[in-house]
Amino acid sequence: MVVEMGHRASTNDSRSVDPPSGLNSLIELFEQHVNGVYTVAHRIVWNVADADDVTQMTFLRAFLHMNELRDPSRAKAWLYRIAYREAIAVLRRRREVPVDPAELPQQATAATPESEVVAQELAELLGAAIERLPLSLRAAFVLRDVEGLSVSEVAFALDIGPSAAKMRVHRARAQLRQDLEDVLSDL
Amino acid sequence: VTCEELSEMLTDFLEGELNEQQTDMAVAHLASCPHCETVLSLTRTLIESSKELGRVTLEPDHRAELLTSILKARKQ
Repeated sequence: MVVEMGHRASTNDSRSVDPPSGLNSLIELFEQHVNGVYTVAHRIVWNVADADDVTQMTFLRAFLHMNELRDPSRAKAWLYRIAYREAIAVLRRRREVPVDPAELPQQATAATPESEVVAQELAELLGAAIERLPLSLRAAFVLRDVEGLSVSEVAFALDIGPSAAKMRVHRARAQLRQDLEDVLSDL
Repeated sequence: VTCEELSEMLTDFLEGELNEQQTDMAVAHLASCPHCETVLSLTRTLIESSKELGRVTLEPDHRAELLTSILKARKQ
């Protein structure tokens, strides 16, 4: 995974990233992780324009600080850590603006028309329930159960201890389970 | 194990982080408690559904625009 970055991470070269390999690494990171970074961004800022900004800033910062990625196998958690910080910065900067439903991106859907409708409805209910979570629980849940980070990676991304990360995931699941009980019971 | 204790153990149970004795106690409680078995089942369904449907999908054009913007900003 992102093997090309290993060499750069192992050097002490203080110059800026070498253009050809740096660009390749940036594009590789983007191709592998943009959907996940965008999901984390959107689930936190809940706004397409801000999610775009967070995603762009995340990859730009990753490009500028690629030499700080000492373990390429942690690229995903490292990117999500940057994305989380950028998203929090956006929330602190912006004034609350109403979300235009037409701006919300489409959710992943299943293959057949009938199942597509059911999946779309479920995705919307799930997305709305995630949005109702407090920010700290929302971020932990998205990182663990949507993006599949381990608890220790969630802790790293959120800059908290593993016990706190696990507790946030636990509380988020409990709240969502209660919120969506009727829907989940039918699945 | 009480229902409250099982509830507190649920995440560790799902993460496979309970020791053998704790796991046996949790399994024994789940086998005799329909309420907790339902809670476990709903939580598993939530986790599976979230993996499948929780992600926000980027359309190809949107994805391409993002990459273009990043590469353009990188030069500035």
